[in-house]
Amino acid sequence: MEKIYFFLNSYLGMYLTQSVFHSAVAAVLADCTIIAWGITSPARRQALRIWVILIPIAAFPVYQILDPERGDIYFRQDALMDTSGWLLMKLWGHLPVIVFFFIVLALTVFIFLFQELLPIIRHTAEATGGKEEGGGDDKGQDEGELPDRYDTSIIKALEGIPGGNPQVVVIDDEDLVVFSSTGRVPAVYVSTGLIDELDGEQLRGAIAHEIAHIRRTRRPVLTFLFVFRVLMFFNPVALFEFRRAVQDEEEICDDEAVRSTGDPIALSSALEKFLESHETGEEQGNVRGIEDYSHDMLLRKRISRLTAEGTLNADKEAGRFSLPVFILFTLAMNFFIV
Amino acid sequence: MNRKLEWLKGLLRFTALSAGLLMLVSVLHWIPAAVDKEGLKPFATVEQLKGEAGFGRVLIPSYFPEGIKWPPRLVLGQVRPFMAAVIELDSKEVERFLVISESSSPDFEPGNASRFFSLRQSVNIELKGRNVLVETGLCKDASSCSRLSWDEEGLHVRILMHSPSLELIRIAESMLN
Repeated sequence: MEKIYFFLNSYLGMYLTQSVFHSAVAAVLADCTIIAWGITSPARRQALRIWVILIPIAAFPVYQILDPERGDIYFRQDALMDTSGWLLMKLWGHLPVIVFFFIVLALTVFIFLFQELLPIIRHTAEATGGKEEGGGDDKGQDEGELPDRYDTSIIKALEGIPGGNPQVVVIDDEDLVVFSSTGRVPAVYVSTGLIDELDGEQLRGAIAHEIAHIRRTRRPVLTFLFVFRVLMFFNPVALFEFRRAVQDEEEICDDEAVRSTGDPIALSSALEKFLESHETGEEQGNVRGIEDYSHDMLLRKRISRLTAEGTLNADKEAGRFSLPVFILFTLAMNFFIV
Repeated sequence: MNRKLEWLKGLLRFTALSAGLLMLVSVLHWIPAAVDKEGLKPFATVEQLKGEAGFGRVLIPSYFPEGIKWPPRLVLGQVRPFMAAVIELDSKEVERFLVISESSSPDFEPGNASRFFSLRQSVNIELKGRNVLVETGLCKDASSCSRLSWDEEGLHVRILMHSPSLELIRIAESMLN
């Protein structure tokens, strides 16, 4: 325990513990901001979440420069909260709280490695491998094998959608699949199953959503955020908030898609089809995990948001200038959490 | 005008919610001290610290130079993860004039108030049969200070004062009586 005490009082220990607690406080304050100003705009919510991840990265060194005595026991006694008091506290007389804290950090690192970092590395390796082989023109391959009606549907769906007409690749797959890839040649991938299942307006909504993703990668907020999120690989709050920011991104793209097509109902009914296909998969006994469950929850939330009247333009002004208030208050409060 | 009013209402709600969070965090800060009787906590008096279960002998000087205020402005103590006590006495001139720290861990430092920023001189002397390290240098705010350190029955004792080392030696002598 003595070693743990001195570790918690070292700069590394203080950074590790304080960044987690500072993130937690920032996350709660971000939600307070959302409630207080009734913010429903996903872009505003995402901006708050970005700061929840950014603040703990730089806050501790800045605080220590401002007040080098911040880690002293004198400061800790008068602080708003002394994290080491909690972490060194023994539960039932023998089990220190820090054991649970380290377990949570270890689980976070595990999730980060296997759910975020490795898939990215694998995806990048596969993409590089594909380029090296020199094939790559999936559109050409599929065009030769698939009936013309798929191309006709895609051309009709793309009509009038702004976004520079990205390449649309039709995949021969009976499942409902639509996704986009970014990079030098961005493309939207649509399965034949999706084209068969959705009507023209729904398909238009789904493709417009993917084009919005491509358009938004020109301002790669999430890519930069992921870099900072990597620095906070041990931080469970950063993990949670990054995922919430990604969910907000989906809603931002929904809004952009609706702005392009002017038809929120078509997009929401397209999402309903995705939800139904997931639920059918569940009835057929496919193994579903927590991730599928949360994915369905997100789909339901997006559907109800799109069908709710006036949601998309409800709070263009609400919560304006709330971000600086949130940042200032978070920085001030976290200064006294050591 | 309406928009401004709405924003102000939002600010009011945010202030109320933040005040709730502040209260919650304050309660969380108080819990370890209330639950964990052996962790670091403040004491009202030195007598209270001495009476705390688990504390061994606490050395208190019987001599104080003129200007030192008694009772101490701060008394802190912990039994776990190692025994440590910090007693701070104010003077009329400088804040945190005298700092006494006693700990079973040699690495224990209460903070910058008892730390040297620049060491000028360091000598070992013998004081009532103990090997005492006398250090002089600059402390916080570049003020001149002296520090005495020695081992006493498993305790590492340190006393620091913003004054010449001679005064500090007299204080240490009175602690060893």
